[in-house]
Amino acid sequence: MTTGHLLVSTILVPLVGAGLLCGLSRLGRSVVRRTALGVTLVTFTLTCVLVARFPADGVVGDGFGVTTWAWFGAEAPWNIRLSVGLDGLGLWLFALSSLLMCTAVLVSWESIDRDEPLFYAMLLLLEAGCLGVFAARDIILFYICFEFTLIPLFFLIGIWGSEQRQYAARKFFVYTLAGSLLTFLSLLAVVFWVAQHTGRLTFSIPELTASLRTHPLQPVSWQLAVFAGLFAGFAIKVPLFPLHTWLPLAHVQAPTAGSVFLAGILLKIGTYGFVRFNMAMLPDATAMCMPVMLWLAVAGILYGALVALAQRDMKRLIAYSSVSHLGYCMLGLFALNRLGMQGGTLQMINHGISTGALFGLIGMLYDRYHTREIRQLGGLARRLPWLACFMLVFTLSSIGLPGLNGFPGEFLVLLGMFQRAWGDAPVVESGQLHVISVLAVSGVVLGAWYMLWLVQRVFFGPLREPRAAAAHPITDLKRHELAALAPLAALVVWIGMHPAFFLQRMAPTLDGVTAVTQESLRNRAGSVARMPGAPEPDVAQVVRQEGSTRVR
Amino acid sequence: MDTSLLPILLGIAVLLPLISFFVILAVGRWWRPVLGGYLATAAIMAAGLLSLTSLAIWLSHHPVGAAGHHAADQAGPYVGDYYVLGQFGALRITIGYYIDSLTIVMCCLITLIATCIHVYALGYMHEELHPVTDHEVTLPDGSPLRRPGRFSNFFQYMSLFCFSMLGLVLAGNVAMVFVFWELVGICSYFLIGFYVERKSASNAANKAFIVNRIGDFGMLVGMMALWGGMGTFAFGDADLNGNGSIERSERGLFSLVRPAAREHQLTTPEGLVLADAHEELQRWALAHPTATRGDFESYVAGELDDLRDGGPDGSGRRYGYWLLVLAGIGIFCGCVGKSAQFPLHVWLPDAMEGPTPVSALVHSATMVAAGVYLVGRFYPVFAPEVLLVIAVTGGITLFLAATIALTATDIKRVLAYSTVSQLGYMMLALGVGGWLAGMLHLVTHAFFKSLLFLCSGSVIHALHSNEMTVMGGLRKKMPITAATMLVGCLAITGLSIPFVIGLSGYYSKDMILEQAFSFARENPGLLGDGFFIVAAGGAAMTAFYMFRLWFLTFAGEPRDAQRYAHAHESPRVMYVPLIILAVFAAGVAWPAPFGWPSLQGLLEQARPAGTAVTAVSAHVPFVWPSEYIAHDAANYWSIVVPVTWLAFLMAVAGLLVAVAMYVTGQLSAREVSRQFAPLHRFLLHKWWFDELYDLLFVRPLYVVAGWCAAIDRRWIDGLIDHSARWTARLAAWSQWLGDHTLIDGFVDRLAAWTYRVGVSLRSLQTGSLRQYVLFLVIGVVAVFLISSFL
Repeated sequence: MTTGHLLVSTILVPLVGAGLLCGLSRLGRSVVRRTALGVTLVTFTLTCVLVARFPADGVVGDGFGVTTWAWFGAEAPWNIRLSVGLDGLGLWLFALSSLLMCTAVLVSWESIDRDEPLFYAMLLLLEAGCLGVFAARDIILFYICFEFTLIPLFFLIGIWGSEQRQYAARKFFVYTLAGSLLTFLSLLAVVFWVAQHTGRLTFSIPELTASLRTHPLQPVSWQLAVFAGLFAGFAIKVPLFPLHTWLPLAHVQAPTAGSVFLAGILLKIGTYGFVRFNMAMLPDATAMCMPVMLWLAVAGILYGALVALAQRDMKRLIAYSSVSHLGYCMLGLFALNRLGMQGGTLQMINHGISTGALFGLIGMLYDRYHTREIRQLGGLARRLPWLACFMLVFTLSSIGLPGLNGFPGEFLVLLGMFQRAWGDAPVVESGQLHVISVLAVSGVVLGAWYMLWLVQRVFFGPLREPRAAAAHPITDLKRHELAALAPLAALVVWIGMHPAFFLQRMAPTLDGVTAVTQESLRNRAGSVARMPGAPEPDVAQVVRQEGSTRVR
Repeated sequence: MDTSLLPILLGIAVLLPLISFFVILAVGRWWRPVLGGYLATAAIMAAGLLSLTSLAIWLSHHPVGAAGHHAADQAGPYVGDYYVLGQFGALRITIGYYIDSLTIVMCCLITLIATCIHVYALGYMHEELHPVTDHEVTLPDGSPLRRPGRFSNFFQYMSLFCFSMLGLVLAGNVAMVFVFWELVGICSYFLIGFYVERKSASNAANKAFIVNRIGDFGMLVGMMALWGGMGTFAFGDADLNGNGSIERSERGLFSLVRPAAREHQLTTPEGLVLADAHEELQRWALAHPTATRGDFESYVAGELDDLRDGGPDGSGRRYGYWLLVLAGIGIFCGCVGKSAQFPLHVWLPDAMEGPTPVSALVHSATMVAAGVYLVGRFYPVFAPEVLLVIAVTGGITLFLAATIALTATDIKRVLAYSTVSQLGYMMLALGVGGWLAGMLHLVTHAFFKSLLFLCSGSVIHALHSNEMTVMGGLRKKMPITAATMLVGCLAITGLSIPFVIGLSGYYSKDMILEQAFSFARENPGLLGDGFFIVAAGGAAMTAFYMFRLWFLTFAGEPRDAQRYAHAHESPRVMYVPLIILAVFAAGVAWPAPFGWPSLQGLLEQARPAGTAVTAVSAHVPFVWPSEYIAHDAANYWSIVVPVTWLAFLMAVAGLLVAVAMYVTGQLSAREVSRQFAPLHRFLLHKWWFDELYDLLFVRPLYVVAGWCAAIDRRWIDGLIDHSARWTARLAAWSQWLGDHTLIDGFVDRLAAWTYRVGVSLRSLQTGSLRQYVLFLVIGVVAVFLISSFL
């Protein structure tokens, strides 16, 4: 099988599986969930093969496993195609989607007790949508998948959620949809600009990126407008402060599987979009917005951490910690250099793993005690030693303990930020960049604070359980729960010990993006970049361009 | 044997405890728990042998001169990489090593003490071999907690801890230091929280980790700033491409900050200078629009020295210097956290919640020593202004902790505060320019403090209480513990026969006092004199609280007869380590014992280049006298003799007060505390620091967090909800206006009107044929009439 076929079938398997489950709706619960698990495992196996075949030093230019069908026939004037392929940016998010779906199915194993066929079908549809987002090489296909992910999640929250599920589902849906419509307009604007310049209407993302490199969107005010449109959709998705309020609500109301996948994958679509479209296609606007974006990111880091500290509900606490962690991702990405970019991308994966697992663990606690209130629980390490052990591992990973995955991500992000601020800042902002970089570090303290506080209250100290729980026996991790957590824990250690395996596969793609933005940054500031031994070999260059020099 | 063996031997020594950790982690569950203890002990013992072998190799290649200060003693470090983790452009992230005599001394020290503590813990922790009843935790039904023993878990964490600490001292670059730094932190988190069911223990573990994180915040900023300015993490120069010469990109931090070309003077590195001077460079670039990149670089090269040194006459702004100071303070912040210096000292006393062997290992000899070690390691990077900060911090800590130790009644807390105070001594020494004094005290303190902790553990083991109020008279029941602890007390007090011989503390503490005196001579004034007075006063307080501890525990009559009756000397597995440590505590710092190389001479070999000269600051009016001055024969009568006598008298004074209070009873402790009741209460509450921090930082943080949460709910989310509500209202209104009123209204009205017309016309439809014919006729006639008239 060629990699192209492999890639397409990886995306199709969950779709087929979803159809199959709808057909199986008469069958019993155990058949349904086993089928669902089987489908996700097949998808995951195929993904593993893809990852294994992915060249170790990344791909440059054309993607990996590219497959294209002309949707409306090759002769159609509108060149919309079904085109998929993977590159260094999409690969890991693609792989993470297929892994986390196995987790999502396993954590729902016993907690979902009505309409199982529909539930698992929705999960599989969600998976197919996400896989499509990260593999899409055509703007229309991307957008379709992007929007398509909303529908299954809407139903997952709206049908299987907690008390306020309908309000949460509606809010989530309308909020993200409103933003993404603006995104769509901006994407079309990019397409038409390129069509006007090259005389060829194309929706292919690589082609658009390439021609925007030679004919950037002009004037810059237009770029800024398009940037703002894209921002509307992606920033809500990330979610960037202050557009984050749908997230805690959706998380708290969603069923565990929904939370796992929402935190693990759906948020990453936002950051992915920023890299794929904003940075690669609108480098000048990106360079101009960099300080604003960094401020928003650092505000998210601190604000998310502070609000997390005030939470009394475990799920809300983790939801706000997501806001904080995604702030780190954005900080790294918008440092716009190699270290920050790689760190930010690695941090996306890290967050997906550890926060996904933390949501899973909280779901398991909820299944046992029917509460998420921190003050109702305590000393559970004695009652549930394995669960506590996993909780500790993922907590330590999320606060960036060396040897676990959070550390390389966080460290690279901070390195990138400091390089931007102290090494080669564009002149006008270096003052505020210094402040941002120092503020970002303080998030490290707060992060340890709220996470350790949570673990201590719930798992350490004297035992405290809700009175109602005494009625039925509380057991430690069951087999399917162990199966959901163990692979994630292994990955936590693997990334922590050997991040190079992951970084080197994403590096060339990200370097392509940084090369463009770096150029724009220099043009913009007319800056004298001067860090000796800086990673980018051509930094020590004085570039001046008329009209774009802004020096006081 | 060749020196190329050093990295291999020490590398294995570092890895052995890690292997032991993993083995216990993997199979400990199925073993008899005691095997885990044996494995961990064997691993650390083997690591100790390897470290001693490296020491022998080192000595055979770098013989130590007589205990003197000779610049020629310095022996270059061995630098290299074990493994390259990743390369990002010019940034190499590696697992590297930096081996000089300090590294080797630290390795020997850690493994030796850790071996003693492991052996001791085999005895001390034996209760954990069986299910344990923890009387400090009561279950809801009022019965004490029963839980399975955690013997092998204990040794598992101990192994991980030893690995982290050894890795930290072997680390060859800043990134690695930070990694091991964090690992040390997390191990202490596990070990302090060992009795995890006790709320106080898990609170203390959290407190330790978070307070350390606050220090790490500064450390991260500092190391990142250094990296941003220099582009390297490595400490030493390494010939990476193997062409026999060191190029710019192969230089490490130390030689960038103190280049040999400038005689190892503190030099702001180029990157920091240019980062600070970017506006000037920008101006030049704009003024020379036609300049090429080469022109720019040659301009920078020409201006660099002027920018760095404040112009030709040194009066202008020194670009980048403040960045270097900031980075140094940042690094020092990390050390403040780890070494429990003021204002982050609050975690260490609480950390005594851990088992006593942990206190001995983590909180006397190793973890808290890491901060001092790192200050010693980064010494060449610290600008004089940073040294001043270090000295002030050390001085405050020294005084503060010593005063609290005067009144504490928990035996371990006295030792904890004594540790904080002694760490303050080391920081003070480093801050006033006494690198060797600080490092020497680090080593001697590690020995006598671990000895003291283990002795206290032996007492606690016998009495099942930490409170000195229930002890007394134990010397008869526990003669070996009493004797070894007395050695420890004498060592920490620094008692001696002046100028003849003393215990190890005598040498190191005198060296610190001499340097402080030498500093005070150069810098008369509040700070200069203050440092010396504090250090000398601290010596008296040390003597007082240490002997108070010993007398309360071992002398006099038993205060609790029941506990006394059950007391017994500890088993051999516990007292043999005490004896070994006592020997080291007594003799480790003897100058040239039996013709062996002295510790002072060995450490002197590691002195960072360029730190042995007298330093001045351009910004603060202080002079840091070279450490050699205090030991110069010319200053023997003006520095050494008075200081030695003063130190001796202070120690004796402290000792005599303790004797008067607790042995002969001429002074009544109760009377004194009543006399100074407010002061006594102030000290008993540890200067109200916990309460103060709670009031100043913790509560406000939670209040702010609560505000943020409220803002989030009411305003940010409220805004979204309101906008949604208004959108819905707008839609309803537009439906009413547009759809309902205008468009649909028009159509509806049209229909209604048509309908009404139809209805009104209906009356014409009578169904009578004659009437229709009549209408027809009338119509035809009307048409004719109209047409004929037209």
